[in-house]
Amino acid sequence: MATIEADFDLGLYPASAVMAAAHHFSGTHKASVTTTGNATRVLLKARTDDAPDVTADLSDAVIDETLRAMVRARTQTLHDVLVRAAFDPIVAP
Amino acid sequence: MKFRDVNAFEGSTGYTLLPFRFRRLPFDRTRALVTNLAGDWLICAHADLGDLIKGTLDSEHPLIKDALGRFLVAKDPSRSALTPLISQMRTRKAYLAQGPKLHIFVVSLRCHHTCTYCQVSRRPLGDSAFDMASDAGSLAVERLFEWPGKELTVEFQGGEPLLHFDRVKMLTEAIVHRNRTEGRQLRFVIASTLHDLTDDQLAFMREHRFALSTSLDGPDWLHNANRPRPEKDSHRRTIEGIERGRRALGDDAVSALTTLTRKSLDHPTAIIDEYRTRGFNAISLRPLSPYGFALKTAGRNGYAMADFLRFYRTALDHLVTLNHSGFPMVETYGQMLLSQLITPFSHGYVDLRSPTGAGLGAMVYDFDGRVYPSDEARMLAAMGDASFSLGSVHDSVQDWLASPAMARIMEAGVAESLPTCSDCAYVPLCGADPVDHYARQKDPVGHRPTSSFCARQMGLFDLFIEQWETGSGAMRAMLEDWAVARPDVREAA
Repeated sequence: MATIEADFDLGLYPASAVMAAAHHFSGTHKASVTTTGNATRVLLKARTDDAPDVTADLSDAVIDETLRAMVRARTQTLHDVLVRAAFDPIVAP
Repeated sequence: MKFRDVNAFEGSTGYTLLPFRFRRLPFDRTRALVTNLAGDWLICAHADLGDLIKGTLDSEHPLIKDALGRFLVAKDPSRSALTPLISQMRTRKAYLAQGPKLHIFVVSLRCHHTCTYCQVSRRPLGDSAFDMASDAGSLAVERLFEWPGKELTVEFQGGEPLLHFDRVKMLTEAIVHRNRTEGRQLRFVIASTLHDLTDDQLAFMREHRFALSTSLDGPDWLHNANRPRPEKDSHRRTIEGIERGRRALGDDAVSALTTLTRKSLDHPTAIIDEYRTRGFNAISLRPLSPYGFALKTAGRNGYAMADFLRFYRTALDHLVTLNHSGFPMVETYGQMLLSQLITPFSHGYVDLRSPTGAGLGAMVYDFDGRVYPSDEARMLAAMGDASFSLGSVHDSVQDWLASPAMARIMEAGVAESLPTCSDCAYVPLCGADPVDHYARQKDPVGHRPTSSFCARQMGLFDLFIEQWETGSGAMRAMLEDWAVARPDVREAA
């Protein structure tokens, strides 16, 4: 079965983002994530012979999860305020 | 390279990020769909989105203006400036204040069919022990009016509810009588094969303005293969029932839906053409669910969700041709997805709401007086797993809502808090289905990369976004028509 191995610089991509990205492929691949030195290493092993090649998708996913982490970090407080303002309390018409 | 302090990302553009989610488009990985907390969205270049997030986007870039208009960023993050967004969020979740609108009464499990995919674990015709008793029905009517909703849809199901029509009559009359003091807006539906309808039954249904919902799987050779009767004439009887129902109650009172088996997936155009021939302006292309006999026959009838999505894509192309030729026909589930995408309103359909519709959008009163938060929970119980039974009609609504089963549902019932869902661009428009995930994956939270529910929802949302962006003029016109017409939630239930 095909195996993909990729390292992601911890200085550029948080380990949590790399883990979240690897999770996306855990349906078609067995995923393992480890940290070695300054990098987070992802190992994706295809579960079946016809599993798709996700090498490029993995890189995209790591970039996207990093961007999502940035959005969360900057908006989490505002998110909580907005949700509370919208739904607390719900009043029946 | 180290990350800079978060304040360094403010940039010189003078805008503040608001909470949003995004998804790289499967059909164009250089672009992304971006959604705000209320589900309003835009599509932009992924590179520009990255710059927006990092605060390095040029202040004159057109994306900034679009993002301001869609509440993805704000110049002024004060509450007053964000009031429209808060209002949009409330509009999107307006169903929360209403309580369950759909109330399903299972009057009998008896049925004269032997459908290979039967999800309700039907019983033979003579098995009257599986009919709803009078006292269970009476208590269910009392519980019905404990819910606060101003609009109540009462749907009679089975098995075949016509086989216990006396109970249908008794319950309808009891509900109408009680409603004289309650003043709710009532709607009655019967989900039936429509076989062997009598004139008396039709007269009663006409008096109470029933809607009829039936199964029509396609042309006769497909329908009869999926829904066998000993007489091998299910399709003929169904068409006869549809015609009689239309004559008695009006064309708009009769709707039909398909259940798709593996055999069905090879024939999307034939199925749609059958609906065209029979004069239906709506079709519901419904994949199999893992309950009852459908689970037992999965080896023969089952298929991967990817196969269903391929089928749906072909069906959509054929529907465009049909609509463009002058015969309007909607696919009801697609219509609901599009209304979520294109309008700020939600219809509260159980699969497209968060918190989940189980117990909050629908209730099921089973023949034996047991109560369930969804039809799927009832089907699971019929298979021997009563994990999601809320109690019985002898209990109060408060008891049901405080039950361990309801707590279990709610722990996994808010999509915005579930792993992977919480970051999905579609989550403001989508839903949670803890019972389905439990049925398929033995975990109410579920594992999204292998979730059939997720695959279907995302696959269809992706398809509609793709067609919205790249489809023909005829496709776009059809999708717009679907989006703005008021979806009939009942038809896709």
